[in-house]
Amino acid sequence: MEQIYDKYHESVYRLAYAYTKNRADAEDLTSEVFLKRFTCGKSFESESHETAWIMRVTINLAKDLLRSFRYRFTVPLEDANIIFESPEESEVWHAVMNLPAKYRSVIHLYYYEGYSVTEIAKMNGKSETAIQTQLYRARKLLKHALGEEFTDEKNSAILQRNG
Amino acid sequence: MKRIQQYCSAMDKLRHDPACKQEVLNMAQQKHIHVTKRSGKIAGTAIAAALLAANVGGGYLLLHGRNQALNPPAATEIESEIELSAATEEAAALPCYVDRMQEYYTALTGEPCDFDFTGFGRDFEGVSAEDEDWRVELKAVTGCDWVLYYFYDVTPLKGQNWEQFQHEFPRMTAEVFGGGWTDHFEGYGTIPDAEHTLEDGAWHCYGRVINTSGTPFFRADKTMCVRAAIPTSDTDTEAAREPLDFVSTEYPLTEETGFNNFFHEVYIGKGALKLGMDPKMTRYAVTPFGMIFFSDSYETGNDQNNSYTDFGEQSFDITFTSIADGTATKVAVKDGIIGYRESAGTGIEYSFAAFERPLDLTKFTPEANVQTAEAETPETEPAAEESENDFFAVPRKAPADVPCVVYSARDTQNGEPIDSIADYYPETTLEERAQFEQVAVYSRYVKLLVNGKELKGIGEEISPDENNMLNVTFAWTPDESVKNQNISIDILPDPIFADPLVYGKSEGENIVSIEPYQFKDYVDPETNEVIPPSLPDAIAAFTPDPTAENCVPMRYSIQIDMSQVNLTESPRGKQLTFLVDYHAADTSGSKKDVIFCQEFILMVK
Repeated sequence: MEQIYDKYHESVYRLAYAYTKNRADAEDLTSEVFLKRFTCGKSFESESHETAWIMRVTINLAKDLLRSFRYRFTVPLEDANIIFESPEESEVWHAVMNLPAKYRSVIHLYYYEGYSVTEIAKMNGKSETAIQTQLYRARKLLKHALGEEFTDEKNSAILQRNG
Repeated sequence: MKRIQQYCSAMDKLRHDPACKQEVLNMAQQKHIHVTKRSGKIAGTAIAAALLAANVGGGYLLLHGRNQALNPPAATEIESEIELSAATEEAAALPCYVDRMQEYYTALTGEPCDFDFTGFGRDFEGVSAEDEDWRVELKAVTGCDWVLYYFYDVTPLKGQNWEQFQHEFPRMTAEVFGGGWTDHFEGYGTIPDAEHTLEDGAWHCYGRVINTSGTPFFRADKTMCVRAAIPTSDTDTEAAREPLDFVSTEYPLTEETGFNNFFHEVYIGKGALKLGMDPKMTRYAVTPFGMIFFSDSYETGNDQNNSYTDFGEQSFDITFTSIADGTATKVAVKDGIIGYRESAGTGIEYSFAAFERPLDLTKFTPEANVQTAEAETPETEPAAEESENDFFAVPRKAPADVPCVVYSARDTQNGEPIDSIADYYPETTLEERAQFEQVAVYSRYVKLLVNGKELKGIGEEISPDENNMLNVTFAWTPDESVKNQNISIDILPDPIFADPLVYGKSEGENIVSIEPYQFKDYVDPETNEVIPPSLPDAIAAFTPDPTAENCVPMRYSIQIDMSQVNLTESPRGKQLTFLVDYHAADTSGSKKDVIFCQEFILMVK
């Protein structure tokens, strides 16, 4: 269990945060995801299957939370208390966080986690075209918010993070 | 440069609290997991997450006496408050179910609500449960045959703050059962309060149960069961079980025309879906709290299949007519649900549109502003007199003669033409089909021409000219019947890349990228004259019709250098997709949300 937790918990937490924009909710969602994982009794064919299952559960639980009246009426927006390296970094972060949840989540999965449209579509139970459209709209909104292109440098971004 | 790396770099700094790890592992090992009772609906509660980090150690649960008679505050208590104004004294004398309902609406709108809810509920006293940290206490139930609000207090017994309350979220849930149906709580929360202040040591909370059965709560021998869910309890504990017999005002369902073609649009994926069209909502009732809609029951192969979605971020107005002077008033709907329930081979679709403020039905007629022409002839196009909000409330079906691009498809395997979207996408839901119907209505006014040839359907083959160029023209030629609907077309190919014509750069990308085009960029809002295009890679030419006001014919042409386009292979060859967004705009020309997105999927020879 510990290995599984260590392997996925940051990704789950960040995806949960991308949905909720709230640390406490992201932590709770992360906990619930792993409790489901540890108690579901599933064995997975491969690591990629397990990853997909975990991310999909995260998405579903996050969507449930966003739909709840408790969330809509009571959860205050919070800042992530991130120390940004530059004003531009802060601006981009907040531009993404100000997107509607479905858009910021797909931006997160596509650019940050590096999943393909096909993989994101499977996680969300949507068609690839639907995900492409969401990406399209998200980038359109980002461009509007940032006043310039939200440059598509997915691969270089991932490579840069992976060092 | 504002690049994606900056988002990634910032996200890298967001770290999960290491302290959570051991907590989760311990709970998993103990299998001591709090999972709140779920409603079995799509949008059911998601509070389980909030419970997971709760202290699962010791504690005790007390279930106090219940169902005691209403006891308004003692007069001496009120009189002792010598600073009270007369108005406050009057407010304090209100039954709790009136006071809390007014408080709810006041918080919702920010404006004082003095609607007289007398007769719409009852108070409770002593119905509570607690552990060593929290006490939850049912205070009142307010509502009618179609919706119930229940109000309860959550008291922190150890001085916990708002964050701790959110984290553990002790609460009450409710369901109404009888007549073969059970209606669960649909949502709950604290009464909106920006300051999160405690009142008399407690947070005022509420929950709501919406009637999805089609039979009224108070006239069908139904019972309401309220349960307490506090952090130290593994299961919700029944706190009250009350027969629903304390509201006498009736709001019977009607099949009269007016609202019986209600549907609601939600945005899922690439555009708006219309829910409530198949089956149609044939019955409705107007109440002070909102409107309930039901379809006729229908046969289904499902033994058990329930689903609903809320209205999301969308809102709309419903107009009512004053009985006194015939003037119209609009009531905002910013909250509601739409869904279906299927059981033992029978299903019913329902929707509840909650008013933002209560409606006094003694002053306003429940006759809708919705034009009845659509109700009588739903297969025709909408009437020209519709208000700007009516696209939420009137179904629009494709006329039989519409050359709809999404309907005119070809089977990708054998090339045979197919006529319906259900043929092309066999797994489409009813809602998705409704979306395509919506597309069909407006697509009659759009032509897509490539190298002068009008395209009829998706999957159609196109060829660049001898210079490897594609000359693409979108033509929007609305006629008088859509003149007053204020629909504008917004051609917005994907603006993802700095280079406007780079295509298929990443895996899975198959949307052509053309310099974005905005209608407002090209037409002077005052003179309605075309402004010369400023975007270097788009050649736009419009010919506004001065007699058509907001509904002008438009042509938009672009040239695509196919040598710059990196197409992604699809099973049938190289694929090119155009996305066209349609907006509804008000009379000032300001944009509203995209009402649907049209997609042209073409194969390049």
